[in-house]
Amino acid sequence: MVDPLTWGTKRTRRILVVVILLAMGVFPLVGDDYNIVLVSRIICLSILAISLDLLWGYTGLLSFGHGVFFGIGSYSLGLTLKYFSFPGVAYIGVLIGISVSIIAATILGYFLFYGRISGVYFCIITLALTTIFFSVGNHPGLFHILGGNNGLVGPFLYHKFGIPGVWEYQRTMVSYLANYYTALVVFLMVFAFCYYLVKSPFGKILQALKNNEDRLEYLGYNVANFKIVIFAIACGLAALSGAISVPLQTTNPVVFGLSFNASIIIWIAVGGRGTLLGPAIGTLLVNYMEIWLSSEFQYLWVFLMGVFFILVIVFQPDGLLGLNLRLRKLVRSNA
Amino acid sequence: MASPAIELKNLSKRFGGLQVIDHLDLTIKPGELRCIIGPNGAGKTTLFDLITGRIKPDEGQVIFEGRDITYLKPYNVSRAGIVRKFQIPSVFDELTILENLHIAAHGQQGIGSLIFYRRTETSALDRVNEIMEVIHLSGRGDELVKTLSHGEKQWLEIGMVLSYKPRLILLDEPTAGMSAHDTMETSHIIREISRSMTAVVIEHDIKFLKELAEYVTVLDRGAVLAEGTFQEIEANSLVRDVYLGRGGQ
Amino acid sequence: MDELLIQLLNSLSFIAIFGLIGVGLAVLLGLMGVINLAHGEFVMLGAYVTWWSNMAFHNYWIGLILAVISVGLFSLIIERGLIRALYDRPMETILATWGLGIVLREIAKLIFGKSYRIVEAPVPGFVSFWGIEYSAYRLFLIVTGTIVLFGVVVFFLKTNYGLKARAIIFNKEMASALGVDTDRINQVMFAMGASLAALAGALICPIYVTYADMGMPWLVGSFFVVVIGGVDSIWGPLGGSVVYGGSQGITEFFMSTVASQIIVLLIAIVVVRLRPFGLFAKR
Repeated sequence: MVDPLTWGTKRTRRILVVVILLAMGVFPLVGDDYNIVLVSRIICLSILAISLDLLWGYTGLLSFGHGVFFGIGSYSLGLTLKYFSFPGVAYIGVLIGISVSIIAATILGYFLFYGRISGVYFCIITLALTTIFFSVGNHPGLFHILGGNNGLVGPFLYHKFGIPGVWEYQRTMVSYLANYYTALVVFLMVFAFCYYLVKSPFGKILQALKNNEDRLEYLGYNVANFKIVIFAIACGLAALSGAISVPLQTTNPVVFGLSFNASIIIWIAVGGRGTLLGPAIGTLLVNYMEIWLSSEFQYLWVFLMGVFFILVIVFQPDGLLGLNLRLRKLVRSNA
Repeated sequence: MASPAIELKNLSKRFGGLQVIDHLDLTIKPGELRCIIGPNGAGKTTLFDLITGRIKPDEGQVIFEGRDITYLKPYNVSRAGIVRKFQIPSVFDELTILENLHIAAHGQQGIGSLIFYRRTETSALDRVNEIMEVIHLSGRGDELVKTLSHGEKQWLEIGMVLSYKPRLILLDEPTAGMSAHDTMETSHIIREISRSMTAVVIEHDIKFLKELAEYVTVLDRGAVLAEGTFQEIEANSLVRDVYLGRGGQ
Repeated sequence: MDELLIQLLNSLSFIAIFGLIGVGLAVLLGLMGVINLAHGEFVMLGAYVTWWSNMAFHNYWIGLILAVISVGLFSLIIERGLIRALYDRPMETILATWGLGIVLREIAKLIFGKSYRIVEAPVPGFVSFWGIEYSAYRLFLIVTGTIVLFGVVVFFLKTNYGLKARAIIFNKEMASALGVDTDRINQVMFAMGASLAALAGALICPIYVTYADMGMPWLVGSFFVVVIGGVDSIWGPLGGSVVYGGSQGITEFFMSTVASQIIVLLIAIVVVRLRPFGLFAKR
C-alpha cells in the first residue's frame, strides 16, 4: 500500500496540489463542451471510486456492489424531482439518497459484520446485491416509476438545480460550467473529508483492521462496529456521487449491473488502491483509455481492456501510484 | 488477596473425536506469575482460546474477578481486562511502532472520539515512551513494524499489551524462536510486567522457567497433571514420564 | 395442481443446473479460498462447443462429450497460468478471474459473433404422465444432472481423491503436513469443476439461447447457492442449489420474478447472519 499523500517533500506536495487545483479550475475555460461533460462525469465517478477505496484500500473490504449505492443516490434524486417540484427540492433529493443509502448499508452491515462475514464472502454477498437491484431497476412492472432499462427520462430533469434565486442551473444541455464546478466542489469536499478520516485515529484503526483483525479484537475493539461505520460512510458517499451525476447523465439501471460495479474496482486497482488519489487517477485514466481504444479498435477494445486489467493485477497490483514506489526502490537499490 | 484473579471450573472442550480440555480446574491468585507447561497437544493454547472467548467450552466456566466471562466475545473479554499475546507475534506490520502502541492504548474508546479527536495529551505520550523503554525499542517509534526482527516484534507485542493496561496478561510462548540472549531479556521484561498485574505464561524453555517461575501448572491431555513450584515439578517423576514418554518438548 | 407439478419439475431442472455449476465454484472456494469469476464462462464455452460440434458433426452427443473434455483441459491451462501465479493472493485472484471472464467473453464474441445460437433439443417431444405433458428434454436434463451429481457425491465420499480433497477443505495445513499433494488435488478439482460447468452449459443450450454473455446470470445464481449452502462439504452446493433453485421456483409460482428474487436474497442474508458459512457448514 502506497501513500502518495506523503509523496515527495512537503514543498513539492504543496506545489503539486496548487498546480492540480489550478488545472482543474481552469480546464472548462479551455476545454470543449464534449470534454467538459466527460470530465464532469469522470469527477462524479472518481468520488465513487474514492469512497470504495475507503472500504477496500484502507479497511480491506472489497464490495462488488458499490455501484448499487451510486444508483440509490441517483434514483432517489431523480424520483424526488419526478414527483415534487418546489425550489430547492434537489437538496432534499440528495439528502434522501444519502440517508437511504446509509440506512441500508447499516442494516446490511449489521447482518454481515456481526455474522463475521468478510473477505471473499463479503465479495459474494455484495455481488448478489447487484442482481436484485438490477432486476428491480429493469423490472417492467415498475416501468412507469423507474423507467425500466431506459432509466429516468423526462422533462422533470430540467428542473433547476443550484441555489434558488442566487445561482441556478439546469441539466447538461444548458449549463456545462455549472455542472462541472458543482462536481468539482463536491469532489474537493469529499476528498478533504476522506483525507481527514484516513489520517485520524479512526483511519489508523481501519488500516490495523485490514492488517490484523484478530489482534485488534483482542485489544478490546468491537471490530464489527468499525466495519459498519465505514461501510455506512462509504455507501453514503457513493450515493452522493450518484446524486450529483443526475444532471450529467441518464439515471439508468446499468449502474446496478455487475459490469459497472466491477469497473469501479478496476479504476481503483489501476490507479492504486489505498491511496485516495489513486482511484481518482485510475478513473480518469481508464475512462479515457476506453474512449481512445474504442475509437481505434472498434471490435477489440473490450478484449484489450480485459487483457490490460489482468496484466495490471498480476504484475502491478498496487496500480499506477504503486509503480512510483517500485521505481524508487529500484533506483535506491541500484544507487 | 482473597478472591482469585481467574478461576477455571470444570472446563471441557471437545473437537470432533478429541477431548482437548478435560474437566479442568485451575485457580490463579491476583498478582501471581503462573507458568503453564505440558507436552504438545496438552491443550495449553486451547485454554487461552477458551479464556479469551475465541471458542466456547462444552461445559464449565471461566470466572474472572468474580465475573462469569465464559461466553463473552473476545473484544468484551479484553475490555474486562484480559489481554493475550499470541504465539506467533501478532502486531500491525503495516504501521509504525508508535502507531501500534497508540492503537493498543485506545481499545476502550468509542468510535466517535476516534474520528473527532484532539491532540494526544502529554501523559499518554509519556506512557508510550516508558513502554518503549521497557521493551528496548526507544527512539525507534517511526519505524515500520514489518522491518523489525522476530524478537523485536515479540517485544512490541508485549509492549502493546502493556499499553492496554490489562489486569491479566496471557502470554503464549513469548520466547518462541528467540535467541538465548533475547530469551533472557524477555524474562526480565516479563518479570517487570508481572509486578503490576497477574500473568499466565505458556512456556517450554527450561532456562526461562527456572529464571521466572513462581508456581507451575503442568497440563497433560487437557487436565492438570501437577502443580507446584518449579523445584517440585522438576523433581516430580510423573511429570518426567509424561515429557519423556510422550517425546514432547 | 398441474401447473404446480410443472413448476416443480422446472425447479428440479434449475436445481440440477445450479448443482452442476455450483459444485465447481464451491470446491474452488473450499480448497483454495478463491472465487473464480470466470466460472460462468466455462458454462458458456461448454454451450458453444456443443453448438459448434452440433453444426459440424450434426450430433449433439459428440458435442456434449467434446465440451466436457475440452473445457476441462482448457481449465488446466488457466489453473496453471493464472491461478498458480496468484496462489497466495486470494483478492487478486478474484480480480484476475474477472479480467479473464471479460477476455473469454470477448474472444467468444470475436469467434462466434454476437448473434444468439440455437441448438435443437436432442431428445424431442413431450412425455405424458400424471396428467401433464412435460418436455422430454427437460426430463432428460433432470435425470442426467441428478446422475452426474450422484457420481460427484460418490467421488467425494468414497474415493481416495475425494478423501484427500475433503481433508484439504477441512484443514489445509494439516492435510499438507500429512503428505497430501495439495497442488495436484487443486488442479484436478479445478478441472472437475470446469467440466461440470461445461456439462451444465451443454445441457442448457437446447433450452436457452447461446451467446457470449450467457454465463453471467448463472454465475451470480451460483453465488447464492454457495452462500446459502456453504463450502465445507459436498452437501453445501447441493443443498444450496436445492434451497435456491427450489425457493426461486416456488416463489416464482406465486409471485413475480423480482419479488421472488428479493425473497431469496432475504433468505440468503438471514442464512448469512445465522449460519455465516452456509446452512451445511461445519464451523
